[in-house]
Amino acid sequence: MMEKKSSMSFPILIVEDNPVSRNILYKILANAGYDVVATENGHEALKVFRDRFFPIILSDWLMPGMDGIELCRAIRKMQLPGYIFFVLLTAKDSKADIIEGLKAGADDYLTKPVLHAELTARIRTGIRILELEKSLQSRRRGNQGFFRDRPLDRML
Amino acid sequence: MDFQRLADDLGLNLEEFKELLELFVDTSTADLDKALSAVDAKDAETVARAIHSIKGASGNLGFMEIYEAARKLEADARANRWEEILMPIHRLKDQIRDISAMLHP
Repeated sequence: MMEKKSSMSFPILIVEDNPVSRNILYKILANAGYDVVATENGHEALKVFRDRFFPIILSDWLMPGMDGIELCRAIRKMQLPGYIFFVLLTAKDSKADIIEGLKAGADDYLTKPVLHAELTARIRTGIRILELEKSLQSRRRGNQGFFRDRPLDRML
Repeated sequence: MDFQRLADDLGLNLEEFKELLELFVDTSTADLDKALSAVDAKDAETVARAIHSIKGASGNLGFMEIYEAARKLEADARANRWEEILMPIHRLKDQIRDISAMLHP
């Protein structure tokens, strides 16, 4: 397992069995300033995930043991403190494959070979969505407080 | 082969890229040996899996010639086209050896 800490507030969990591809993804994202942890398969990823929450998961599709689709389904079944932006990496690019991935709960997919610029652009898209979710949650908490402090009969 | 350009494409410095290349040479050599043994055993699935690994790594590194050869080889293995397999595996071995030689001139 590789790990790089930084001040970015959306840590990324990489799941890729191929050591070269795993290192490439790790280096690209770590160099871009992201807080990244890289794991080798779905089982290792779940183990890491139990100890630490990752709002972004970038997972290969085909892996021995637990593959990316199974990992995605397992993650979606969990009760979590926030949304997870799940990106599948795949050499599969037929429409049927892409639909299967999205149906399993993936938010986005990247076809391999992965382009550096496309990877970082998709991660930024994920962060935009996660920031939106975060601001909605804090607004909702604010609203709950507003109504709790002002019972309806006193407002009328 | 322009390592600097390939490194730039990935947003890495040359040293980082060369570290990845060392890993690529080691893992691909092992994968090709695995594939060759599997050809002897007529084990198409193992050939395809070993070549699939080279395909993914070479594509991500930007070695598109190796990627294309591996892509075809994986498909040929999955289709049990044994007569198409042996020569390309040896050709890939030569290409990996060339990369290794460039890393250690």
